[in-house]
Amino acid sequence: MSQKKIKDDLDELYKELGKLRIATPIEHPSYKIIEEMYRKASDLAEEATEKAIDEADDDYISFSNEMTNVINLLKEAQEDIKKVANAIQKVAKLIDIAGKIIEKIT
Amino acid sequence: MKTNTKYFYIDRKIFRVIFYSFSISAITILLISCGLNVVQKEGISSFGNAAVNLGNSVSKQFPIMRNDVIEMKKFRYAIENRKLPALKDRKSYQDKLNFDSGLDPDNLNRRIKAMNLLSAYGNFLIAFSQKTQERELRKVSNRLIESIKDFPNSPLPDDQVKKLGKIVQISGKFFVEWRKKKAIQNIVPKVSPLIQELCNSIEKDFNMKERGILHDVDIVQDRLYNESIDRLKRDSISINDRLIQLEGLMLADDVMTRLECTSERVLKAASSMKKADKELVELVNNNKNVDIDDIKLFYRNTKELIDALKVFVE
Repeated sequence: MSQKKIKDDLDELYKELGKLRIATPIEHPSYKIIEEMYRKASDLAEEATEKAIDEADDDYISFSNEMTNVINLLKEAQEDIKKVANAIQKVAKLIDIAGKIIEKIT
Repeated sequence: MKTNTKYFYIDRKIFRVIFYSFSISAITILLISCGLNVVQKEGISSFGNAAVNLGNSVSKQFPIMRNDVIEMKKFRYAIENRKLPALKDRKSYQDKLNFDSGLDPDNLNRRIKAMNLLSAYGNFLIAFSQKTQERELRKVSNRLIESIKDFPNSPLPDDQVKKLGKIVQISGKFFVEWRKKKAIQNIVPKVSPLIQELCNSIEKDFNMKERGILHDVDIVQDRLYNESIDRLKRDSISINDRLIQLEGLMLADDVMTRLECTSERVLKAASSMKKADKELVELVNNNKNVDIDDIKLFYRNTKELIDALKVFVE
């Protein structure tokens, strides 16, 4: 259950970041960071395939708690590009946590 | 009196010969009529054809998907145009680039072997439900037993597989129909758990929301699509660069269309196979009229799958 949950979360994260990246003009000041975050999330999703994860892990709990909030922010940012700055700080934090989790299980 | 006794013995001999001939003929006729009935033959043969269709279509998809993934990664690395760090050896570069993204030959071979069982089982059912020459029966039986042996993590113990091997050997000219029926009645319930396991594995591999083969391919196509769009939003240095970006985008789009089409059709076929397999078990062990609607639906779904995949170039 937990393995599936974090993998599903990662999938949603990289897909939403991808949509945001496509919708953002390259001149936008946050474009570079969106690009980096998308690439990180996409790499992590690929790495996460078939890896085990412990639900009780503290990092997983913070990842899971932050996830819903971040996805909503990304969706808002796709609607209104001015809200990108608001979303990216939270996304960066979330990707850091996901990175730690994947590092533990690889 | 003596003469009468002699005639009596001759008459008894003749009577015995006639009696034995009659008995053998009666038993033969009885055993012939104890073969599969019309509905059973239709159901078994339809299931067999559908199994061959599904087995062949799915096993063809695995190498295609591996090839797509390698091609997409190649385009992605070219479009991203990033430098590689210096790494210690060839293996490290292979791991870093990870061209087949988990779709390595071992992984795919296991899946193809499982699909081989489905095709071999289908051919076995077709041959045993129709008028087939003894040599052909032996060929399909041997192929089925080999596929059962090769099935990854098979729940059937070796001694059971050996027994099945003996059951399916049909030789000689007598009682063939009856022996074919007995072989089918023995084989179908034994293979059923493997078919159910195969359905679960197909459902995982061909559902983009599950962590299976299609999901892996989906991550790779999404990345290529995203990187191609990124570069297309920028000025290009040369026409060649632009061409590669466009090719990358088209490849990602094409793979995505194929994934969606394959996923929908294969999942539909696998889900109907699950039900059809249960119906088949009931059908072979029941001489009365059994409904074969699930088997017919399974056959139709696999025909649709084949038709839908025809538009994609292999």
